Amino acid sequence: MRLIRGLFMRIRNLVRAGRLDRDTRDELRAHYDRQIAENLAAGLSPGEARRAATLDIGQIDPLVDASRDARGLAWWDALRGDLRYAFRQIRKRPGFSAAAILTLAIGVGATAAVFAVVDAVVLRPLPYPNAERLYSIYEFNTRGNVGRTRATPLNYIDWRDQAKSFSGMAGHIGTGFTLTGRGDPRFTLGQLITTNLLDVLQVKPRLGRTFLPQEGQAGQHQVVILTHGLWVSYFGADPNVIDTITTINGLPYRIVGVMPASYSYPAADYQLYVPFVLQGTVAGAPPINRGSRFVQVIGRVADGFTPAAASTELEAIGGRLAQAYPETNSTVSVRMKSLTEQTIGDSSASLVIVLVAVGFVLLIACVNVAGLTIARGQARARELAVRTAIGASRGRLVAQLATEGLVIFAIGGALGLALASWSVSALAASLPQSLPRINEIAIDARFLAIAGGFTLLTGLVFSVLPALQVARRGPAGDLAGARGTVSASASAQRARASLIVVQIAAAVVLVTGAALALRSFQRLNAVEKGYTLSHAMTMNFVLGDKRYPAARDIRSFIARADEALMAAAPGVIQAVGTTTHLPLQGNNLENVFTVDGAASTPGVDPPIAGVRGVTGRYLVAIGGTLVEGRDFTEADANGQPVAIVTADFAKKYIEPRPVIGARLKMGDADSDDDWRTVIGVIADVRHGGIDREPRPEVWMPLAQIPDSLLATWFRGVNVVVRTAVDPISTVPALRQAMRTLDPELPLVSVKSMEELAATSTAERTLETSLLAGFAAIALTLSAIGLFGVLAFYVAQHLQEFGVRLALGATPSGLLSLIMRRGAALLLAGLVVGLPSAVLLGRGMSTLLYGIQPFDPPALAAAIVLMTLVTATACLVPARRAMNTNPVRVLRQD
Amino acid sequence: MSRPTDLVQGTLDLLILKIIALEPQHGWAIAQRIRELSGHVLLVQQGSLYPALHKLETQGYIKAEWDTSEANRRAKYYALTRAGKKHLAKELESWERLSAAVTLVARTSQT
Repeated sequence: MRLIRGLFMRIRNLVRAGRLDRDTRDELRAHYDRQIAENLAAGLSPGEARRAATLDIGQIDPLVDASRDARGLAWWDALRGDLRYAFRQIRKRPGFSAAAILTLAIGVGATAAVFAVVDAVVLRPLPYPNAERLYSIYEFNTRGNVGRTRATPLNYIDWRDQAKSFSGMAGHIGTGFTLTGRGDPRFTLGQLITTNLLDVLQVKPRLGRTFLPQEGQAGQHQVVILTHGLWVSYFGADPNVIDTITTINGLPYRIVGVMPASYSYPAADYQLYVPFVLQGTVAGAPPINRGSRFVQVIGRVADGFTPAAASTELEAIGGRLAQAYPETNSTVSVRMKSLTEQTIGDSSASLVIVLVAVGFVLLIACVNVAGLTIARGQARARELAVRTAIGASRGRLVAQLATEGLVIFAIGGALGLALASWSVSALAASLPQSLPRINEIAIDARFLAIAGGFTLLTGLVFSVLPALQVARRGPAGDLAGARGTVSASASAQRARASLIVVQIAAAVVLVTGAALALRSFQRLNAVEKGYTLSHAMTMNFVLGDKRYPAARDIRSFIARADEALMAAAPGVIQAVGTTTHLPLQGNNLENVFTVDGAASTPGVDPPIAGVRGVTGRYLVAIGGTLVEGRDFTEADANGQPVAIVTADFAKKYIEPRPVIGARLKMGDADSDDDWRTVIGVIADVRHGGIDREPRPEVWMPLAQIPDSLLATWFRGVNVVVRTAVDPISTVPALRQAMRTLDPELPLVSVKSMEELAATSTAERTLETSLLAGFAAIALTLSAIGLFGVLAFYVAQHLQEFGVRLALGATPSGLLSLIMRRGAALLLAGLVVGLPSAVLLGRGMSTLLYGIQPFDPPALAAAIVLMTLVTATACLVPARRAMNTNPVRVLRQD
Repeated sequence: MSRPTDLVQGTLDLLILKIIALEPQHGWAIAQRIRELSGHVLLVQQGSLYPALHKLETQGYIKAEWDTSEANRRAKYYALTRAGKKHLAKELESWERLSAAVTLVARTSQT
């Protein structure tokens, strides 16, 4: 209680310090006057009375000071003194201080910005109530290399109806929609969802309602829920939009709900929701069967059930279905994965690596400031020793030494956080859109509290610890060293040296990491992709079933488009073709094939390959390589069924028989598909991404794709145009040609192949450039640190060097002395750093391509770079040592 | 030139509290009272008196107020607070014990 009151009084005193000083002056003046009056009364003359009173009281100012101390303001004055001193020191060496502040600002800023990203993408829970109970449920097919697949509609219905450990299970399918009736037609991605999806997620619409169960029946299904983004961008945020009718794919849909802005499931690209019809049939809708695996399923584990119990129940259901429907389900089991893990996926591993890397940069920056504090302590060793000897408390000395570091931390940290707030939106914009939850990145109070608290803590640790280290030494040693010898500062020198070792080790780790990432990048650029990125433009559009109902409508439109685009810029456009599935776009369709004459033995996996329907001169347009045989010609459209296979397909499934002339068909041997004759072999295609291994593909003319397949699955068309000039420059002509063909057909994406490649490797590019940047900063900082330590060492040992030179040592001997010292630090840093670097390499395996975490060239690069940096940092101090003038240094004392 | 011995801080605090326990006083009067009470042995310097007063005020044992004195002069009067009364009682007890001990030691060393 008294403690609290005392504290309160002190704080009040602090606030009113100026007024209290005036009050003390008044009081002392009154005392003085009274003393004069007393002296006059005692019979002294006025002059004598005044003089006696002055003698009695003394100077007023020291009294005011003493009163202020007594009022508990001493610590404040001491702090002010320390701060003044710290600022003076900082100003005195502006270059060094600016470097320390700047490196801290960069360290804190970069760490905070990267942390903001990691926080939003990885750390924050998904924006659904009890998100940890949400699971993605999928089929796992042990046949061939199929592995994980989506669910078939009928399997989903059985899971939903049988699983007791789930309070709800919903399905959804992404697809494209064309909105018309409000200005330009708009193409947008959306989801067909079972009517219970939003209830399973437990999210409420901002306006209107979610779907009713009966809206999952054919005939009642023409209702739509809009995301906030689409509501704003296409419907002008109209609050009266509920219950109005809008045209989607040429049909009238009633708007029943608008989602809140915070909501985006499964990703921000999907802008609207319509019911997925499971009862009855809707023209053009995907088939409700047990063979087509296209439904994404999520379930909420019911209260009272553990995820393990839910998983066991799903396995049992999967086993029952496999027995009941052996034709489709014999190799299919049911598995689940937490939605959080699924959403964050691979991004978390690589983001954590970047966070670790930026943490190393921060560590190096902090070590710099700690080194600065120790150096200050060394420089003031004698003064500190004297003060200790005359009774200064150790706490007082630590406070004074730590203040400068803390001030640098405060300035650098504040600058860094400002930098982070300012740069995080720029960083978010530059991040690949493939990163999940990218729109949630923001600097908020929670973030500032974490980042600010962390900076403060780091500042305390890295300022107070070295100050304690300096202050620990007893006064005797330093006073003994008062003649300018150096023995006393040996322990501080050791502390500083170990800090440098930490710096070098951190730099080695970062340089190795950057070298690994860069080498992976190099390998990737040189890899054979099966297509050529330069001089190729791509466009996509979707031919809706309302305006292009039959397969022949689709074929004839594509044929006209090929022709019109070829004529759009004569001489500039060299080849035009289309494909059903373009590489680097994440779209794929794989199917089972049967090769004629290859006995399908049980236990041996049947061929599984990507299906591509192509038109025009697609192979030339995409820049693929014909290895054997010939390309498709116009004559093939109406001729015998033909196919082109990739080299890996030929090698795996046809050889050693002759490839050209072999026959294959889609599906099993008794499927309805025609036997197709292989007429050509092309180089392997890296369809899924430049850093993904190629998978076998079978190409066929679009004209020879069965009508039912074409009208259901292949409505998306990807045009590829090979150009003689910069492909971007042909965009206006291409757009114009498409507008002439069908003014109401929206183009989904218009991008060059190079842009597609950049998007697909954006995450890797970003991480590699961040690592390289961090490594460069780390090298520079550790060079500065090394230089500081060696320069200080030389300055302290000048006398010794003078003696040595006087006794006949050669300058080159001194050079090797300094170099040996640098080399010892380097060696210690390498011993700590290299194993850590290999560990980091293991952690960043998602980022590695074509190399192992233990990569001798990368490690060698780190060693060579660090050696060069050490040698450079040694040079200037070594020169100073060699140029020592023995006469002058020896006379100095 | 001999300067009067400075009072030990704790002793001065005790004397101040004791004097203003009788009636509120201003600084000059407190110094006078200490001198008189000690038979002109204890001479309190202003350099010690005012810091001690201000410290006691911060600690909450005494409170201060500007007032007009007998001769129509303005002066800052110090009075004991309730906490100060308790503190004084406690300090007096330990002071008596201490001074008894000091006397004892002094006697022993004289013999």
